[in-house]
Amino acid sequence: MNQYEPVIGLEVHVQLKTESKIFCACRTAFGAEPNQNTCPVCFGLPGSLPVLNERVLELAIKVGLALDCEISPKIKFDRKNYFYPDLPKAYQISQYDMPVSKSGYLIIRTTAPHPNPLPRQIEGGQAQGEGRVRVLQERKIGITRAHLEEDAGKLLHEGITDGSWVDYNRAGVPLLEIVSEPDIRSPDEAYDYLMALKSILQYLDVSDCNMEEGSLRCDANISVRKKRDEKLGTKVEIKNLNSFRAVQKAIAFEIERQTGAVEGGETIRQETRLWNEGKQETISMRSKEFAHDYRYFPEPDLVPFSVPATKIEDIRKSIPELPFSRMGRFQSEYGLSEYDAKVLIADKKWADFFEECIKEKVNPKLVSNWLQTDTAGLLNERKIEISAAKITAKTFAGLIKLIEKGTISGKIAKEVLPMMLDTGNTAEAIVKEKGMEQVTDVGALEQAIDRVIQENPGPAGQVREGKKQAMGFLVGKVMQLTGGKANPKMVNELLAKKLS
Amino acid sequence: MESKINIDQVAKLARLSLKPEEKGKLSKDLENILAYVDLLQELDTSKVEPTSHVLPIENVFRKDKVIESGVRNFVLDHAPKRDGKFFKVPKVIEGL
Repeated sequence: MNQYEPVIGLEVHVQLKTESKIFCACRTAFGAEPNQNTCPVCFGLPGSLPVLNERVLELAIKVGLALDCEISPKIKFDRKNYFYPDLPKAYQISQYDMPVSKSGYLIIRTTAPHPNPLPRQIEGGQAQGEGRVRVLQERKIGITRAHLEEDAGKLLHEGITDGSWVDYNRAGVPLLEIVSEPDIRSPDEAYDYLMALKSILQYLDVSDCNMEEGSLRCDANISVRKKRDEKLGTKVEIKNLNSFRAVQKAIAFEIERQTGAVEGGETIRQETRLWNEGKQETISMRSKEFAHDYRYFPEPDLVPFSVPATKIEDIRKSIPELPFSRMGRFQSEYGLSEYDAKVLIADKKWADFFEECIKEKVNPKLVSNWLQTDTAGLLNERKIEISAAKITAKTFAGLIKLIEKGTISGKIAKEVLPMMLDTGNTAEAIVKEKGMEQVTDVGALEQAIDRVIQENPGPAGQVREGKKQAMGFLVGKVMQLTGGKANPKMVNELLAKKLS
Repeated sequence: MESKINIDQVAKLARLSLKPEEKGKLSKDLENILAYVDLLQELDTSKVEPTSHVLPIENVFRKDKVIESGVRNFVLDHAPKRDGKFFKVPKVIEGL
């Protein structure tokens, strides 16, 4: 058995949803012309003065409260000094010793095995279609701090050979850096932590959390140590992680690399490594000796901040129901399994859609199943979000009602759903127009059954002799003959009667 | 007495290239500054609230409102190197 364990901490940078930058009035919207969203403040020109965007601090406090952090009574900004062409001032305004919030935690529910799970262990539901029970474990991941800082500009290297281009549109875009404790113990747990965090940020409506547009980024710190060792190993920082899956894969790669090195008697060097998505490996960055000597000092251009308790209470009241408690409510109120509830609440848009459907008085379990399997798959194929789909909660509930009433079978419903998504028509209209109602008329069913028996004397004879295995074949034939519209239960009963 | 100042490191962090005679002079200047700070440290400040700012004001905000500055072209024109709408700098690629 492997005698080493990984110790992982994550740093997540999330862009806060504002109109203007953190210290100046430039637009933050993605997709502007190069250097369009710039001004003397974010360029750091002499004589300019940064002033904090009020909304930025409110959003940061909102996140801090949602992560059960302490909100610092005194908040100040500091300069982090380093030279790089994407940093116009040669310092980044960040926070060093008085961040907006600190000492919080996030509880995740994960299928990842862990040596020391919390005492409470919950039985998971049946995973749809997979037929195996997933046991979710609660894990508490500490949040060291969440601090504000300004983003840097963007360097472009493609399409240019004799230099690099710089676009400062992102310089000064508000970021909240959320730093976890080194409490994560596996790549899967890291993935679950990121999903849970993203979900909370979306519920709070503080960020778009779009990794492609750079509004959510993640760096990982990883070390390995002998199991039961108290002391942490030398940590390696991994950057250039462009998706949650990349985080998961890069961590898995790095655990293997470090474990191999340690077992081979090597010492791990403290360094920054880049994830190479093409090669699926981490590569050492030529480390600069003094790279981490940032010589922080208080930002003299910004005054300190202290947020009154009443203001903090107002922000606390604006926090909506969060994914964690919504998950519990979905289980108790709608009788969903823990697994189904977890899948549904992960994306607020899906959870909202689900609850809108339930208002139409349809079976929650049925709605949950149809959303998670068929609907999710179809929307994925079409690359559309549920909120942008032509199907509404009301029309979707209409489809579920037809299934509940037995007007159509599940098989037919699978044909109706994509038509609803593509045309925006109601299930009722589609079923009527295409004549897809389930055939429950005994006369019509008997006619089809008689024909199938006549055409398949062999299997029919076997059933008469008591060989029940041939029943399935005959039912299938009847379904085929009726274009899938026959009520399978009635076909079974009628066939059994005729061949007894 | 051995110097408290590693002048080569300080220069490197500040992106300064110093002549040998400047190194000696600046080391001395910096040591004098540190010595003065040591002198300040002797003061009893146990009853003084720590501060990071010289002015007795706090909580100065601006509203989250966009104002277009329109300075892009002026600034690009004054850059050491401009390439269309971009600033151009010597090639920088780390790692990869």
